Amino acid sequence: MSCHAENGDRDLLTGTRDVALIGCPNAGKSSLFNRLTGLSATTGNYPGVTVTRSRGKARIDGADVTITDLPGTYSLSAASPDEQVVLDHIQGRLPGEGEFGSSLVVMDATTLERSMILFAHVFELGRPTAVVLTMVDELRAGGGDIDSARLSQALGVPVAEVVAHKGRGVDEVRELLGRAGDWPTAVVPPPTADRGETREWIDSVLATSGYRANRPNATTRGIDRILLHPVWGVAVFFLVMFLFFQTIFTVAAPAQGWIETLFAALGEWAGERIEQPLVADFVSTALIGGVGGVLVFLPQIALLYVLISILESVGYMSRAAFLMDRVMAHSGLDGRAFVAMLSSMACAVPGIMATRTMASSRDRIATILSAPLMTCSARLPVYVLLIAMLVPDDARFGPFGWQGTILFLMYVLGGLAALTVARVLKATILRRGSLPFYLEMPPYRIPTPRQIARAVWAPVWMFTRKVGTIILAATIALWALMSFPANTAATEGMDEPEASAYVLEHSIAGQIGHVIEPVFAPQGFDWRIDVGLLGSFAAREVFVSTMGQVVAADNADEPADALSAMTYTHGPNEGEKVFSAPTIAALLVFFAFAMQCVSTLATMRRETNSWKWPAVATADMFVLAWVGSWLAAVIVRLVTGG
Amino acid sequence: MDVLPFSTATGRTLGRSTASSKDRATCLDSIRPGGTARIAGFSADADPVLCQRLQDLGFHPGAEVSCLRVAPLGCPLMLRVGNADLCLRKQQARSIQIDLVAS
Repeated sequence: MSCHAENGDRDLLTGTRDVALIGCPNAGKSSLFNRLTGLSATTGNYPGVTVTRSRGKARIDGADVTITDLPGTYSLSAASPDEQVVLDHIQGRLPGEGEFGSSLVVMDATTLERSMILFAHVFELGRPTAVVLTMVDELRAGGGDIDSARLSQALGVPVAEVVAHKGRGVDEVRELLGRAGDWPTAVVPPPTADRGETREWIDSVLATSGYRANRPNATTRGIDRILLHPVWGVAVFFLVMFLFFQTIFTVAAPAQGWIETLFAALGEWAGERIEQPLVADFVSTALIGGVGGVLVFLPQIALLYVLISILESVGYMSRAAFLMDRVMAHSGLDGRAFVAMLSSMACAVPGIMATRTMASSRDRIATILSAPLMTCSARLPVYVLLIAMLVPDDARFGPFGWQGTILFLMYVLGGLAALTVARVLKATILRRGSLPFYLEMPPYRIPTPRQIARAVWAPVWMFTRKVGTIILAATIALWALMSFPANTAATEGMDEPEASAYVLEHSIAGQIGHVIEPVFAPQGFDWRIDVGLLGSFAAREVFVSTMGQVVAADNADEPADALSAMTYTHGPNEGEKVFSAPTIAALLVFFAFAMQCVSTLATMRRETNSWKWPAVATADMFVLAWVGSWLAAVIVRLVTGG
Repeated sequence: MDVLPFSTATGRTLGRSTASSKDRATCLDSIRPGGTARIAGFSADADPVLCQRLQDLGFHPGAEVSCLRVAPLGCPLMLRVGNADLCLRKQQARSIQIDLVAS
């Protein structure tokens, strides 16, 4: 990419075709980026860090200009890892990256004073620089004004005005990009060493360019009076979150059901047409089932992103963060983590993806690592099965049913665990490099459909392409573990449930179950439960059908009766019931805490750009799950006197 | 000059307490909704990275800050500074010293 020597001269690169967008958060960088690059953009992480970057190409005068959308930053003082990336990128210090040519500073006209500090720092670096002024429409609508020609003279760089989300002024920027290599460099850089001098310089530039700040937006003020009201604001907040959650469950769930039904039918159809039973099972269960297992996430992810991008671009997300900050502060996180945590109650996969809107990468990792502890919907079938075996459905706890009460307590347990883990992480391994809390409240804006479509498309595509392959591979691997060796000779003449139970017992997974039996002996799990736990890595609810298979239940999807009758086949408790109250309690707690989900791990890997964080999450959640389930077994044994 | 919208951490009104406790300067966390202040500087024990960042955000000495509201549970504060609406937690606001008081 870079066409000059490693120790290279950092002089002006004439005709350079690499431009970085630099600007404060919320300055309209991403809207402009999307306008310029269209669908060519790719979003990913910087090598080695959890900072998202977007890169795309704009075709100008028959040549490609590579544009990088850098993370929003208020200055180049690099207080956080995220800002360090901006600085490293500009100075070409990132491994495997060429240094970029020119900087396009995106400045929000309504908060121009602040953007000028950033401009001064960028211009000082001696790269060809130009400026894009955004939100000029809002500035003028609020009675403010600026003369961009005079601003251009005062700064000594070209200045273009845009209203990016409406596409106004974008052609001018494209024209500007065409000669990016010829943008001016600083002859006498603005003073940055002394804050007072910087301020004087800013004041003089603003005065020269006839800058007049706008009045605060009256509509925004009025809406804020309701939405941030101590009573009404909180009520609206809970209503919005309730509707948010409801929409994900009631709109996405049927779509997920259709996908599941379709792929089950497809698998069956294919299975019937293949003679060889093992190949048939591979195609129907592993291959088609695996693809279905990836696609089943798409309705949730797409819908979640529609909702999040609407809330975000309207400006409500910051308001929600403002209202929830005090509560989230207990976890060491800030209000911005709330939506990710809430989404994780549907599924950790979209929850983890929702952390992209968070400003600090440290907070982001803390949220990503704790979100899988929230009670997701895949845990429900497991909980329902286990709770029904633990207490009869007519057992009452005061006016309430015991079953519902226990289910509720499982949700509370998950929430508390998530907040506690986040707090511990923030106090230990993620302690350094945290930014002080600040939150910007943008005026309310109406998003365009285009903006939302884009915000939805990118994560859906990324998930299918990058996460989907990992999930598919893992599904196939788990299938192989549970199907080999095939033992076709031994199962001849057996009926269907018996045969599949025999194969599973003698499969690699079955042998692993036997080997790890001592590990979970204190919890009362026997090797068959261990096989179920192994199977649940594909998805937690698979535990139910794997247990059905292992006990050769007539209907593998409703194994409660067969499980209740299951007894230990060897060891000191031989002949006793496996699913006693202590074992069931231990299993419940185990499922609350353990990282039993390949899809979550794959998403984590993708979002953090390393296997380190998925490994950390698996390890800490395993310790939590083992200790928690053991304690649960011990306590229930004491209480029931068993 | 109306001093009522402000109180020190001890809860007494500003006018009386500043004279008696001179090393306890008024900090931005004591601002009340509707109040306006001018930033005097940063407290001596404040984290330099934080001070730098607060200045980048517009909380520089001489800047005018007004308090729009306080979140329902008493934190964070929603402030108007440099033509932008920004929220700070009280913990951060405590490192900003203010002197001019008006409402």
